[in-house]
Amino acid sequence: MAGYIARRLLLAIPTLIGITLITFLLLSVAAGDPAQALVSMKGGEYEIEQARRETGTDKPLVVQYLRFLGETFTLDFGDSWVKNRPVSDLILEGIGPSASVTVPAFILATLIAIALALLCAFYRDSLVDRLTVISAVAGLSVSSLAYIIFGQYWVGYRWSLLPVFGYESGLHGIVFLILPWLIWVAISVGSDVRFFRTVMLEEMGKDYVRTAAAKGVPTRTILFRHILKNAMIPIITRVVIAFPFLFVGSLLLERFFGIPGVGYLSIEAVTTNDYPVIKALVVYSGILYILFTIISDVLYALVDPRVRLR
Amino acid sequence: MGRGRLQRHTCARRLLPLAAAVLLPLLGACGADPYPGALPGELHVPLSSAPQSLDPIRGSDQYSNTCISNLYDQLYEYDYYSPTFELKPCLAAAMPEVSEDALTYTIRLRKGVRYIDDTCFRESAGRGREVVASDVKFNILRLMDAKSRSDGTWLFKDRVVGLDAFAAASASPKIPKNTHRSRYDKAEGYPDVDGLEVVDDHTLRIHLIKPYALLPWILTMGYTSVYPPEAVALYGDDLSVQAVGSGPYRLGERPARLKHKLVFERNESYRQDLYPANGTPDMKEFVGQRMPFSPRVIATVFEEDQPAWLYFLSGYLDRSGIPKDSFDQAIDRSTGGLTQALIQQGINLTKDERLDIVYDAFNMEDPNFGSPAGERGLALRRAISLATDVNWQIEHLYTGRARPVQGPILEEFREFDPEFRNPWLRQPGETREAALDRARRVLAEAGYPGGVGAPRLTQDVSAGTTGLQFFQATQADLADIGLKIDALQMSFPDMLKRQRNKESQFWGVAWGADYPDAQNFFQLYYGPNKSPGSNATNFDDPEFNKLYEDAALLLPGPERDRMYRRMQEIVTDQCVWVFRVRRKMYTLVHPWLHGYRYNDLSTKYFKYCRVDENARSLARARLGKPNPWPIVWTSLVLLALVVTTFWAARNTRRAW
Repeated sequence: MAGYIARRLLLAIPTLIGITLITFLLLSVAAGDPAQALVSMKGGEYEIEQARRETGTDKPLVVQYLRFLGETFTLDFGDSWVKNRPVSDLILEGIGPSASVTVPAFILATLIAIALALLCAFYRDSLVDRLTVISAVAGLSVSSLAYIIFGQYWVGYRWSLLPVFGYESGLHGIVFLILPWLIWVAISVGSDVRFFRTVMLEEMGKDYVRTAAAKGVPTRTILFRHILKNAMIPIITRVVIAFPFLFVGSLLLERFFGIPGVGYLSIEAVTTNDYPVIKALVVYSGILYILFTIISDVLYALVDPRVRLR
Repeated sequence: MGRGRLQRHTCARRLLPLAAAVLLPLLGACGADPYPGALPGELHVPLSSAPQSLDPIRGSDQYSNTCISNLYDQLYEYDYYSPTFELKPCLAAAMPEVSEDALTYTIRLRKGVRYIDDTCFRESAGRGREVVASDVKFNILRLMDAKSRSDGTWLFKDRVVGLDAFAAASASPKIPKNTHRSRYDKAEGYPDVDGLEVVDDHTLRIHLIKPYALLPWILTMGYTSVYPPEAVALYGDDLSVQAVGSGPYRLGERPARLKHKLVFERNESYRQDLYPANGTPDMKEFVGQRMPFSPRVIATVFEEDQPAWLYFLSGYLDRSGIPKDSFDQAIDRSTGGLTQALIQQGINLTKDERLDIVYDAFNMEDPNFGSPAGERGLALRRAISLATDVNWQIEHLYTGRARPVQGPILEEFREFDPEFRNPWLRQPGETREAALDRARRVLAEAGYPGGVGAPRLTQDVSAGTTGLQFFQATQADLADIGLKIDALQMSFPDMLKRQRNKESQFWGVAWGADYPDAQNFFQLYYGPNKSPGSNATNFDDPEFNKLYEDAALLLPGPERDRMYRRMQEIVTDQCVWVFRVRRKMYTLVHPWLHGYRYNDLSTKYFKYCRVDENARSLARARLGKPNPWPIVWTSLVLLALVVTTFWAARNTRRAW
């Protein structure tokens, strides 16, 4: 397994170079001169020239790309062009708030979805199953913005049960997170239930389940020890691959609830042409994606002894 | 085959107490109050966008400027309640002494004004030292240092003796970039700046290259805030989230990326600054009392309108604007005043004119619509200006919160001529149809009868629904005279980029005055400021340029008034811009907030505000009373569903 992981990590290097190349081409070639957008309407040619010099965009493209490559491998992307602060500081400050919303909400949503999916699969084609599937589809069809607006208006404003908006770090800040968590769960549980239900149904139809039932194995054991364990590979794939996105945050929730996370940082960077932040976010996301893909492969082997990593 | 039935097991019994142990404290902590532990009299205000930086040299956006102007003092400040934007000394002891040739300004500083205590003052073990004239010089040099990359350099460019040479030298690659630089030594290659003369600790003399009547206004801006070099030495670029000033407030806690909220705490060592006699009527009893009043100010950043609006309605913001989508909830269109619901809450409405102009600009170098197209281009611009139905836009797109504007000289400027009418806008008493007829005649005379043969126009439109709504209005207006227009939607930085590359043909934008002088608008037409400078229209008219240059050498007076009015005639006759509106600011203020008034040029308002905590607490107790019934009902429904499911499970026979 160690050899497999080492090989996958080595393979990540060309993947990362590919990511940097595409990012660089998109930002520095297709999008044009960023210095012109960095200087406000009041600035002129002199200020733009200074901006080019200070940001290094006056250098030849090859030099700029090599510098980006160096930044990628040292994970030091310098200072934000707009905020004049180290990019790593900005991202580190944002990860906590983002994760405090997304990770608990994701875990809660996944647990609820797995439980509902098991229930639906077990009572497939019954009223319980149909009602859950209809609710899941209906929930999926509603825009996430509608959940946010409804939640803030009714739960926060009309019923005064939770703060409409805000963020505080630490335990006393949990009260600000409950509404975003509930909204996240409402938004994501529908699609998760449908996916997990399909996975469970597929497992339930297999011979080993029928054999176990024929041998008199208790239902609980069949459900939780056999079916759930065998359904784990697709579940792990979905869950583990979602993790990198949790650190990137949820744009809408962060924006509507004033959560100072990474999601909003990324959009802010795009709208203000803050290339160092964009580059760092792309590279960090790429690295996380690669790492979590490897982790999911390793987990396959752990949950299913038939899988061998070579 | 087997019989499947969910077995009763102990798992649920174990989980229920656990869930209760976790959920009950959470529910107990629930409640909508976002300010647990608030101080009595604390001021709660919104910011509509996150400030980019608290570093004075980067305070170009309105939100950064709001924070900076309350954390730092400048040499001068606006008389906050003056409708004519009068100035008064702030850190300066008096208004500047100006030499007869208007080339030398002597500024005397107040004595005994101290910075807040901060670890950057190592020599005094953290105790804030006195503000001195050399700090002001350092601040201006740092602003002009090319490596600081401030976009406020335009304030002093071509103005102060020796400063341009300093700026050029600072760009030299021989001088290393040092964000912690607290002095500009000759040994490092920085030239002396003779124009900034520190006479003594409390006197600064500024020597100008040419008269600069705007200088006192410039010295009120956030860019020219006064701060100690020691703060730069310690914090460097971290000044974007730190502040060491002498203003009425200090940062209460290091803000998390300036994204969510900023806490300002009263500067207990703030200089003696008394509430003025011309303040709001509800503050009469506080005239002559020491400011600031509020012990703490929490400025919350709302990137979206809905949460800010709900916060205000719940009493968690002391003042608010009116979001477009909530306009009918706040304003009764039949009366133009507040709706009954808001009146009953005691909310007050103020309507203030903004010192801005919203306009559509042409690229004057465009071959079809600009100067190269000669008379035909001029005719097209005039026809478009005449066809633009500003009144419709005011009613439908601005919900009445704007009024037409005739030219770049606004009513507040001394050169304003009430008799002046822009000939290429719909005249008072002229019907829309008559204005359209005039536009059609102009087109026909230029060889485009009914718009036939006229080139298609492309408008750069900012991304989002609002930009699109304005475009659609223009599209409908132009269709009335047979002209066709396409939209190119993009972000604001991309719009700026296209304008700088002279690629844009036509675009809509608003310009807010930086100071109360029409020069701030005229510089947008001055030929040498062409793209990539501030004159994005690339208008370059020799007569206008000469007048602009001559007027810049004059102090306000009849001669300069005449020049300004002639410049206004030129740009309106040439239809460089389609003048649309100047906007009105509607502000809602809760009855417990006193002393607040909107001021378009000054955001230094925290210190004037006073909160009546008793009134606020009573109102909040009424407005924010939690309603537990939805939780009870939801829990009951969920419980019923769970019980039904388990009941169904126990009684269901199913095959694997």
